Amino acid sequence: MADLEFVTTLFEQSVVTMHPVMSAVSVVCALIAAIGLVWFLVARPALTGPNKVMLLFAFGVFPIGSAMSGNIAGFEHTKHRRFCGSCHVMGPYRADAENPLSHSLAAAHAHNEEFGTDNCYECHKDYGAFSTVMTKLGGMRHVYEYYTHYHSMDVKTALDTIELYKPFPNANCVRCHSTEGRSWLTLPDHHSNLASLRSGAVSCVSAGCHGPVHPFSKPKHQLHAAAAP
Amino acid sequence: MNLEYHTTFVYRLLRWAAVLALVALFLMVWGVFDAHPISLVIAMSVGQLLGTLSFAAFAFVVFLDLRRAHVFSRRAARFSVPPPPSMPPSAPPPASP
Repeated sequence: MADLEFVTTLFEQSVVTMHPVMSAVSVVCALIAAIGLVWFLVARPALTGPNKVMLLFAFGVFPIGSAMSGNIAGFEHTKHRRFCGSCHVMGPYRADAENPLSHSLAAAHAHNEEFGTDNCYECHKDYGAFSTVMTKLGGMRHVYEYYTHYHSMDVKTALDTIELYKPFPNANCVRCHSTEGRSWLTLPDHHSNLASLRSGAVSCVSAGCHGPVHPFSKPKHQLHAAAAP
Repeated sequence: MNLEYHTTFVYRLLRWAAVLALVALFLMVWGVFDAHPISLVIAMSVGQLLGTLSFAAFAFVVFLDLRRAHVFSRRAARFSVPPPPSMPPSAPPPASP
């Protein structure tokens, strides 16, 4: 029974359920390639012209198709909050974001219908031409840190320890909140700090402004954030 | 390289490449079904590296076949610049009557 529950959970959280088309393409391509390869291993056919063409598909065309579609599905999947929350130390952050009663800034963004399911990625990604790839390359450090430092750490200790690598950049906020809107500029704090906010000298997520973003944000973060260039 | 050795070597290489490709495909599909960070990382790195190695081995076999069939030497001969034709010796000036 526990095994069945595990399998059900695994399937619900898999890439297949969230990106079915690309996942299906990846799996079908892999299956076709695997059939060709097993046929070659078992039947041991002569290397005639038609067989070589068939092997080209089994070794090249279908595996490449599987890898490419799998990459797209994988990259898209890693944008989801569910993926970010799959490491246990991120559980409280995910729980806060998914709590409809939470008033934290992270939860407010998570409740947005446009991008709410990807709210971790939307706020923490690095913008640019290769944003997804670059963000995920940076995320490799998360994986390294998790498996070397946090994997066996209890959540309470982790919450006290986890911090951002660098101050949270205002640029990530300004992508959506352009600092040009009339209603935004009518707020005295925005108007008086306009140059500092645009240059990043004052952080949007400073304590007293829009911080702390998460209920677990530490004062140290806010000091870091305020010191952002 | 004699024909028998060539065939055995190519076949053995392709069989190893096929096993490598099967492992690569398994890892890539595992990343699709089990979307935890480590499985996705392995699928997108180790899986694709093994797949690339397997395809490279196949491409190497194709190259060996083409070389054995003298495709490259024939092609080289076809596109090489022909030697300049030997010039006929200049005709002696006609003798004056």
